[in-house]
Amino acid sequence: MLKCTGIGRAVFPCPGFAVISQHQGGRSMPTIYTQARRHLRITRKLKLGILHKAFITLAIIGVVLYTMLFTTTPLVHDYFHELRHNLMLIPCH
Amino acid sequence: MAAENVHLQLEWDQDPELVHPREDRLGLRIRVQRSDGSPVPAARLRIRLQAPETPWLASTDFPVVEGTTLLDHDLNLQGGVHAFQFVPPIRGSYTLSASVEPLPGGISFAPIQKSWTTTVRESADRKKNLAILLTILVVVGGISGFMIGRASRTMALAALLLMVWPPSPVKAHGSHQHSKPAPAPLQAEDTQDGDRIDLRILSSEARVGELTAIEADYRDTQGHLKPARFRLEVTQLEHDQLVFATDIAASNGSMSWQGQLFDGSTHRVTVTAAPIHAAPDQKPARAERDLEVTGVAPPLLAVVKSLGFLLLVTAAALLIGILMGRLISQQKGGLT
Repeated sequence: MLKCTGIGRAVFPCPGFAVISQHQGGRSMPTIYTQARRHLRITRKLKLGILHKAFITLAIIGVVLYTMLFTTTPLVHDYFHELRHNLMLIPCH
Repeated sequence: MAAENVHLQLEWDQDPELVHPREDRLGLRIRVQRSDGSPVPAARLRIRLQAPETPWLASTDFPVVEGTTLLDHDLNLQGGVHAFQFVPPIRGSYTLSASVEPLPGGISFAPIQKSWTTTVRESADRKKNLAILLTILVVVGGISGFMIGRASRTMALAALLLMVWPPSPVKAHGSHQHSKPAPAPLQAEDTQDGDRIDLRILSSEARVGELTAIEADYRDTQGHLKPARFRLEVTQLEHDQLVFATDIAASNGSMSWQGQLFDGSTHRVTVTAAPIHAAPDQKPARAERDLEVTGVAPPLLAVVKSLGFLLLVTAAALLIGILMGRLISQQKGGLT
């Protein structure tokens, strides 16, 4: 089986390639549950260093904070507009 | 004849320490007095109100307003007093400067200039909201760090849940959508005698961070300018909040004003006017116009500063969490 090398020391089967091969071979597409199980299996085998984990955690928090409090996309901005103004240090228009 | 000495005096309608940005209106009264304490009957007054400078640590909620001019008003002062009210948009130190010079035909005095500075602080509610947000970030960062330090996979899911959990206590103020009121381009109501107001917005576009110029004339049925007492009011329609108000007596029948509308939403400019010597029960003429103020996206530096501050707090909590997690893990014999 083909191996994908990912972040850090991770070495795991390449699910995307497997899906394409199955599909091209005429077999049925895997369900969302099959995919979820595969990803869980991959995640369990994934070994990341503390620095990587801390960086990924901070990045996720950063994305959530930016989306809620800093983006100028009208739909999101309008929903959180009052919240932004009531948090003292969130710049708005 | 030697020029007389006059002096400028500023009065507040309430203690500025009790006024909070965007919530309360602050009233100011500038008095121009002669050396014996009597008011100067007529003079040329220029007032300029400067917004606070950019804070070093994190942005305010109106970064475009920081360090800009909020009011630049030239007027012919009648009776030695000029009063106005305004809503301070952001926290920080506001500087009001006033200069006064004699008018031709009036009393002679040496022109003078004076500045005052006052500080406006955030309300306790907003400080509490910020404290709640920082607490959530510290808790999320700390728990995530602890999980990473202990390398526990099952608990990492709980940390992830906390990360996407919305900060509901802070959301107690409720979300708010920008409402767009029905446009009312110009509404005018003349007096019984047929006097009317010509209201003009001189700025091609009202924009946050820039001054918007407004002019109004008071005219009789023949179209001649008539001495009048104007009242100018600017209302932010989204919150139905009066953000600026002033009274101007104009012996030439014409008034002008330059001020900044700090919120990028619809505002209503209302001018009422009556002849200077009108009876108190006389109904004034009225004109109003809605203005769509263009908001300006916050500068990148303001976003970086505030987001950086929030992430720095989270990173500190994350680091402490990791150290604590590793410490506990080592004490229990190296769970990995």
